[in-house]
Amino acid sequence: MEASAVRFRAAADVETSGVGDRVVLYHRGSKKALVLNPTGSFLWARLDGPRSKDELTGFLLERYPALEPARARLDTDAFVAELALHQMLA
Amino acid sequence: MTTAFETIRWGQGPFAFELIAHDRALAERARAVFRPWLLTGGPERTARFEIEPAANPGDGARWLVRSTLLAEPTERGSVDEALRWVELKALETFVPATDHAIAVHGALTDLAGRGVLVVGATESGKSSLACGLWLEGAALLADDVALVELASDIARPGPRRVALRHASRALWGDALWERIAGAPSAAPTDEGVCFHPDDLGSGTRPASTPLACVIFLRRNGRPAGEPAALTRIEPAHAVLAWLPFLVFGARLDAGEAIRRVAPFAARVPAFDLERGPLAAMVAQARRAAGLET
Repeated sequence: MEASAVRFRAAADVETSGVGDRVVLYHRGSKKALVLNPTGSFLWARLDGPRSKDELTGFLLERYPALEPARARLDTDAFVAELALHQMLA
Repeated sequence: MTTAFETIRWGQGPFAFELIAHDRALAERARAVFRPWLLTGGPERTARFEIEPAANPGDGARWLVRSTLLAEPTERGSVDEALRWVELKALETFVPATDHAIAVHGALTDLAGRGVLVVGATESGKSSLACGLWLEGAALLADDVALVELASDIARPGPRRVALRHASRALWGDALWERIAGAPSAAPTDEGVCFHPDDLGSGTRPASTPLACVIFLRRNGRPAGEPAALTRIEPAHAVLAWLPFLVFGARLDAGEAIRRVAPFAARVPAFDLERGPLAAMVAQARRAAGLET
């Protein structure tokens, strides 16, 4: 499967708590917590269903029209990598 | 022959305790110790204690303490030791037993109707800062545990006397230390002295206070900043800052704790305060509470 076709969603054992414009994620298995910045929190809210990196990048460009596509893709890659590192994605 | 006893009832928030004292002097002492939290009615009893002279004192133990919290009685060597044990055990029930509140390891003061909760690890300087605020006119409500009602942001002190360590005597001076040690509620501890601040004529303290801010001292993982520097903590990060200081947190799942604290952290500002001269830290705490610019 092509990398761009891989789809991600929020892992089932992650609890989400909104605090202002950010979310705090808590992984019940690893007992680790993570605070997302407002952009990450925006993307996290879209992971209630399976999303590819292309789709997540598209959400970012919709939300921030001035953002360059290459920059949006880099942000998406970093977001997915960080969440995967903490087992927050399924 | 009759058996005389008195019942002293005290509590805080949804908690109520009873102490049955089989000795008149003990009852008088207990009333001094629990004076700020004495109840005539109030909520259903959470726990009951009973202190009586030991029938067969051994190893110097002279007072027998029974409790609904214990299967077996325990012995203590003096009235003050027995009452400090009761204070601690009562405090241990002062836990997040409801969905509406959390218990926090921190010192609680009230500055002109604005609550300031000082949170930090043992020996981080909570009591020193709280006492510094007290000497500037704040009501010192607690230096150990506070109960925070999450929907209203109201904080109540844990029902336990304030404790000062011998090491802080130089900070307060001999004259004040002697006044503290001579207060009606004062009792020596292994590390210093415990007392009610309002025994020293600092006015009547409120039973609770609406929190204006939370101040964290010497939070782990932070590089040291300028002396007495005050830094606002972003609310989502404040949620995580709270977690190590929730009392008896092992009984509360971290995910549940995050859910409970999150709305509160979004409303009540939290700050990191660096160590520095006490006067500067007191001024910064007042600033955090919105009392100085």
